[in-house]
Amino acid sequence: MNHDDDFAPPSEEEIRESERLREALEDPAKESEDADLLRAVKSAASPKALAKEELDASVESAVARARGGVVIRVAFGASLLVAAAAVVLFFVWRGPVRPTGPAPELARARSTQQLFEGHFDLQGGESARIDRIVVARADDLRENQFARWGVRTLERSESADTERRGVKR
Amino acid sequence: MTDGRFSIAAILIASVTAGALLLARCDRQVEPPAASDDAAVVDTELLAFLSLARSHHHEATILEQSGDKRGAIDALRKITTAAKPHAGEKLPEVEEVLADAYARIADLELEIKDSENARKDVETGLRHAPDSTYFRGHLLEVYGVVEQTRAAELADAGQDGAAAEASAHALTLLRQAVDVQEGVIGRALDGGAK
Repeated sequence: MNHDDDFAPPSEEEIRESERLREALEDPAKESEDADLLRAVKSAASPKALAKEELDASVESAVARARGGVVIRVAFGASLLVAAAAVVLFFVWRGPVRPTGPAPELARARSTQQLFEGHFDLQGGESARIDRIVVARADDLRENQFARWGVRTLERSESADTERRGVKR
Repeated sequence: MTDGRFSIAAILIASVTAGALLLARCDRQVEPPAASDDAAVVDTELLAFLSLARSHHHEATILEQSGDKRGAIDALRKITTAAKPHAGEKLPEVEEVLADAYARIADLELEIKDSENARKDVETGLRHAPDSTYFRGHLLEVYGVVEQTRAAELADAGQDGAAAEASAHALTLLRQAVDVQEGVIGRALDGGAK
């Protein structure tokens, strides 16, 4: 800070500020932090009885501020309520969530032929055949469920059947 | 910031939040387009039937191994008489399982010398396997053996004409069985078995 500036003529802004301070000192109803500070210092140094006008003005100012606070609280309260309602709608009342985009590729009913490598023996083997069919289609059902959930994509069903040949579980 | 600006900002924030959340929800509700393929999707209904068939096949195996062939046939009949999944539709898996069940029933009936019912059951089974598959080939093979057995029974009964007819039918069926199996194997080797 240059001390030479202390003796420089006041700027236009300084003149406006001093005018506002003067008006605030004359009229306590006008808001001014500087005026409040000066009044507080004056009251602390030489306290005096509060004039009726001053008291009325203080009360009026306080009530106006309190009304403003109520408006803010009501506005925030209402906004919070709207946001809470939206959150409830989104998370609680959202129903089944389905994946967007194209329909998932699902395994469909088809011949079980490809599960078997060669012709069947004349006798026996039926239980083993049905075992293999059930295991293969149970896999398909599980994959379908995953595909619906969007968890994983389904490999081509027929190639999957070919890979299942001879797989015993 | 004045009180009015505070209120407007609060309402704006809440509105944007609510709007964004509701838009996100609407986006999740988009239904996937219908599948283009007409075939039924593998579902719990189909699995339930297949599981039932599996249980009865194993039940039949236990009964058969204990010598109760009629009990085994009864167990297998529970597959053929069970309610089928997706009523009105013919699911390949269900048809093939039925074909295999009828083939096994016919085979068991042959073992208890009931060739007449064996013939009826194998013919019913063939209606469930109209295409060239191992299942049809297997049924034709069983049918051939049924006719061969009938030919022997007819010959024993002195009905030589009917016996010769049944024997010729058996030969035809067994050759058809071979043709079907070779066809299936050929397609499989070409990589297009269906």
